[in-house]
Amino acid sequence: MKVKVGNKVYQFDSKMRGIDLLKKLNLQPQSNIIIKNGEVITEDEYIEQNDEVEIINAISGG
Amino acid sequence: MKCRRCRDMGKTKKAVIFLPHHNLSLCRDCFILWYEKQIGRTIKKMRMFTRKDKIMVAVSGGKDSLALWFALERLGYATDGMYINLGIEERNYSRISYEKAKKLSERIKRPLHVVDIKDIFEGKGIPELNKLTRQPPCSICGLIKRYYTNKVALDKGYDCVATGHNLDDEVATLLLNTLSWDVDSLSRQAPVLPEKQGFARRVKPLVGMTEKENLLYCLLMEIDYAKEECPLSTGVSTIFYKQVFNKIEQKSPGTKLRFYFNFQKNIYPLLSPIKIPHLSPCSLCGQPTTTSDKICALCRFKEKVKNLTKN
Repeated sequence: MKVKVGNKVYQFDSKMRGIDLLKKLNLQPQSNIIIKNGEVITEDEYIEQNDEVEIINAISGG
Repeated sequence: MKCRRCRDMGKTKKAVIFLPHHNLSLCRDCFILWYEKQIGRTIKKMRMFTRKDKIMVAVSGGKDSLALWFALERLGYATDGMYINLGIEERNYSRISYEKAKKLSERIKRPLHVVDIKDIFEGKGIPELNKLTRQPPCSICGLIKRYYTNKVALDKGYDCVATGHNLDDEVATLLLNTLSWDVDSLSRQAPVLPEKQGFARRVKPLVGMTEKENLLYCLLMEIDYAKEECPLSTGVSTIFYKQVFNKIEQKSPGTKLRFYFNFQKNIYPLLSPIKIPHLSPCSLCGQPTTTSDKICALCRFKEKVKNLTKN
């Protein structure tokens, strides 16, 4: 799967849940939203190999 | 994961978010309903304003203030926007932020007042003012924002200024102020600062909403917001404190809400009467000031810039 985080793109080969993907990328679920194939998903949802994923960070400096 | 609200009504819909601090999973439509209802409830509970009031929303072009403006419009409040162009050209930060604020103003058909600090400081933006005065950019930005949001609100006859401060902003600031026992700042950290001589009422209707909830609202309502962080605020301590809180929240959901609202309920009433500074109008601009020489912080800063430019 292709995972876009900000300006970076990562590639993962195995199917996993959103929460596990966040853990792999060292991102906090409280401040990130996962978009799978253009739709917002909850962290318990599985992401398959051919899915396109974007993670959007909510934290700002204020 | 399924939407709990839909389930309670005998329907089945896929959730887009799980909110551990409310033990609630919601689908797109239920989240939008819930989000706007929460804001409306905060406004009423804290007596921020009514539908008769004229409200000025201070917008930065970021997700929080734009989500607030859009939600207030949908809730039926009379809101206009106010944007301060900080003159930050790095990565086109100010230009992009302005475009996002303008875009929303056109979408909801509400006016956007614009203050350009380059008009005030003879072509200087925040980076140039920082270089000249050696004052931290965030401190200059805060001074200018506080002054001009108040001035524009009073000059144009608004009943209050609404800002997009969210729960994460508030708990991070509260923790910072508590760790240094900054009683003066703590005694001013309230979701409503009532109007007083020369000051417009200031309210924070998003104090109960997390950054993630505001971001999701923007995504679902297709609100185009500025994604770039301010290039001058890199490495600010607020982000670190927000991450610390998220770690605590993961172990103990609801900590942010408890920390903030129990402070407001139990501690703030003890602190707020401590300092009521004497206010008098600034002898140069007429805005209120607490200083004994009757020159407000912004006029003092303007003088400093003028003197340094001459030299």
